[in-house]
Amino acid sequence: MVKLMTWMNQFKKIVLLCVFIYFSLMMIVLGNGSSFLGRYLGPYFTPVANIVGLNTTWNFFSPDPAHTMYLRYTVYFQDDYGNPVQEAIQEFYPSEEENANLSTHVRRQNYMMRFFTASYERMQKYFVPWVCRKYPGATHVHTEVILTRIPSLEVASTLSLLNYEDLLKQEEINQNAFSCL
Amino acid sequence: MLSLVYKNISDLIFNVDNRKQLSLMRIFLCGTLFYMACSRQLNMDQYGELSMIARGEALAIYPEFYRPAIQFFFWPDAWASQVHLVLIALLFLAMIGLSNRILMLITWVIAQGFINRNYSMLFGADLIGTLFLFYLAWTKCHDHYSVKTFFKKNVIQPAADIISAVFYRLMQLQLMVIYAYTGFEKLKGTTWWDGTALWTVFANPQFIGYDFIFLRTFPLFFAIGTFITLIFEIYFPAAMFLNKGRYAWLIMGVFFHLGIGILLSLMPFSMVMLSVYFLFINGKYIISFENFVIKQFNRFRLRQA
Repeated sequence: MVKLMTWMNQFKKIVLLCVFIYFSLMMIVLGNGSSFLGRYLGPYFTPVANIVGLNTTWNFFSPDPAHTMYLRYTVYFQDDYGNPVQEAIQEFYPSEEENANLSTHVRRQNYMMRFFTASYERMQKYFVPWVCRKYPGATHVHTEVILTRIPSLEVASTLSLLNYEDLLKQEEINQNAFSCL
Repeated sequence: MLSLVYKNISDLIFNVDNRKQLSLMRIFLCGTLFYMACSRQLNMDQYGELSMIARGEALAIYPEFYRPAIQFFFWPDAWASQVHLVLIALLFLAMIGLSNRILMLITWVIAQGFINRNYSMLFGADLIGTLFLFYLAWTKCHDHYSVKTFFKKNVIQPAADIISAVFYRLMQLQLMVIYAYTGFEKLKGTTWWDGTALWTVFANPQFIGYDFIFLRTFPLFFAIGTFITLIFEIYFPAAMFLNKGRYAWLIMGVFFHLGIGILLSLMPFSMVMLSVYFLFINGKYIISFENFVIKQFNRFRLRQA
């Protein structure tokens, strides 16, 4: 009996040692999943990593911190001939009042906004149908990303006597029009 | 020779009694996740039937490489809010120590389910916190500092087990890997390399809640801060292997994360990272601190009497 217990204990240790080695290699290899090692060994690790949530790269504020970004959308309501039947509505996502709100739930909305604006397909497939559902009768949605480029440290420090707001460069990018119909 | 290697590895991985460290981590991690889940209750519109991402598309939006094979959100969308309330309750129970391995694993499954349901809400603190919850769920992290032990003083604690020990080591390694890779990733960016990245963070009102634009007249602050961040993150794993360097790095880490937490309003993220720090503290320091607190408490009680 004692012998069996000892054997069982040893077996448990070996199994746990294998788990330890597997997880250790997984976190090291998949930390840089796009590397050769990641591509080569990925098939052995990704099925488990994708389940437990290890399928992520640890790139906080990297490679470079993002610039200020807002998503503005305009909802149009038109009849069959293209005449407006209702005044267009302009909104931000997250809403304008929450632009400076750093609460966790607003941050999550900001991450969503960045996720969708990164691709036209995502906007078309997920964001726009949601806006159309939100405004019954909407016929078109126009979206644009407002990017405020933060001046480089050299510019900001050299021109420190100038008003900071004058150094900011605002660009309206990724302007797209989508149909709700 | 082989048996000696096995013995050394076995000692390193299995022969550690770390339940006090794990219990402290449990309080901080589950407490933070509890707070984050409470705040996520305000985002429930994006997890239910009216979400931007339809239920059937939830896994499809993952890049193929990252797509999980299992869909953890077993509840219908109409119940998302109620299931989330259950998650909040489970996290609270875990925080006060009224949970166990099975309950903790159920807690993790639900937490992971919410991450799977809306992958576009990629909030770093949710991802890391849930990952550490997975590791922590396997450990005996309820043996100390729990409501149970507070009321039942004479509970005989079972011996430390080897499963806890393995996952304890994995969490230590995981934190080191996170720091190292986040440092390496930063080196790929031009602003981190030239020492101005911190300025881009401090000047972005979507990141920071205070006006630090006046600091542009002290550009060295940003340059030094940027390089300190890089050095701290990249050398974190190495410092953890040095007995003396470890504590210096951990103290630096506490200030670093509290700074991020306060200035960038990212306290949940900071608390998740700091909760793992307990695993690097020698048990004797925790016992000394515990004795000090008890002594002070008793002295205060006597004075009141």
